[in-house]
Amino acid sequence: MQQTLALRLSPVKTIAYPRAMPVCPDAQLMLDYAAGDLRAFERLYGNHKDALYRYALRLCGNAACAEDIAQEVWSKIIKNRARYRADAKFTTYLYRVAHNAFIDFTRRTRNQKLTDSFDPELNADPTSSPLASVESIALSKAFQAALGELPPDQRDAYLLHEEAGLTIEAIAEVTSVTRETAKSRIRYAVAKLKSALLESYQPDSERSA
Amino acid sequence: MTDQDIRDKELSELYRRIARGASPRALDARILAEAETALNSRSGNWMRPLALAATVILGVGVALRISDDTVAPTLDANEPAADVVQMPLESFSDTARTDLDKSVAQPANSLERDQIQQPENRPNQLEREPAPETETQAQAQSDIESVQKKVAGSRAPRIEDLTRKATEQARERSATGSYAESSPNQPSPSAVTPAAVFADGELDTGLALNDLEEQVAGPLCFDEMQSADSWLACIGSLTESGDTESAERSMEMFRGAHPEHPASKTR
Repeated sequence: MQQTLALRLSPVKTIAYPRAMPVCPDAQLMLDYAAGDLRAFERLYGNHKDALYRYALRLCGNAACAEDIAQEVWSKIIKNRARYRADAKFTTYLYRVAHNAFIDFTRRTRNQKLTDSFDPELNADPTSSPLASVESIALSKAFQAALGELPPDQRDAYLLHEEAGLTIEAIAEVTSVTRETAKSRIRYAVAKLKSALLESYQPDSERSA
Repeated sequence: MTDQDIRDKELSELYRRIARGASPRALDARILAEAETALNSRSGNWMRPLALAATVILGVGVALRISDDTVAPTLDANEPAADVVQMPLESFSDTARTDLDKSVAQPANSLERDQIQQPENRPNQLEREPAPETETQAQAQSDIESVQKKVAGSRAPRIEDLTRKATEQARERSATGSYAESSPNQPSPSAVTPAAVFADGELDTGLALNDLEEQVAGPLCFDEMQSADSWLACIGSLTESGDTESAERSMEMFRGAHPEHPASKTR
């Protein structure tokens, strides 16, 4: 229900203004940073830096590539801080910039294979037991391999959904496609990942049978 | 189908277990430093207006400089033009000077004043001067003006020399009356006049200057600003040096410029 704030200027004329949309905390932090508050940016960066880095890392499978993309994204956000408008969620804005940065990156490195230097051991949990670590590394390798086999559009949509936590509408907005297309890409990505992981962990007897 | 239907719980849990990447500290430090620098410098607030102002100032300066360069030859070319206009009037065309005096300050008894100002040993110029002199002056002036216009419109090198020589050539023709009657030794007026030099419409300063230098070749004692005595001394030095032809030509020019001088009446 749309609430309006009525402002009576005269007995015969009434102007109604829509009530201001509440600004999400991250968007407010961004606005504060644009106004000169460095602490606001530090908090904002702390909220999103790891998720963005992982998104870039899973997207291109390369630590150097992930660092380049993350730096480019944050640099653009810093540079364009004065033009930021809190008309959407900050995460949508952040990952739209990241999505475009990745497209630019793939155009620059069209002929390079991006998944060569990905090392799952760097992502192993140091607090887990050695056995769990080995299992985690193997699983991570299998997952990364399956993710790397996905078409780029499906991989992007899946990561935006799983890593960034964006809704279908937000993913459609970020990737400039319709809602149905975004939904279809995620569905296909999930199906292919499950199939690839099941095939990896299938016992040899079952696989040969 | 809802969003939850798409998300596979097992796959999501698996993703959470393996997704342990964290942003490197070096990257964090770089980005936070960049954010701080951007706030401290605030270069966007003043750099753009400053750059705009500098561009405008430089543009105006260059435009003024270009316009000065274009105007300068015109002004230089105008200086001899004033002399050229005055020279025939002062030298031997007293008819025109009288007319000019009349037109500038027309007194009631102008004829009287004219007679008073006439030196006694000076005959009536109206009677003495030949009629075609006025046409000669007009032709000379028009030629000089056409040369000056063409010279002013070009940016060729040695432009001042060209203007000066063309002007002197026209003065010489005007002084000796060679526009009206050309001697067989000299080229025809159409080939000599500055207007003819530029008749093709293109200012080839090299060729034109060579032509003019050929026309004014030979040491001549000719300077309307010179006194009669120094002029005669120059002619004397030419005679002593054996260049009788130049001395005679200079003497003719002297007679034209100083007809009242006793030396002009002696042959």
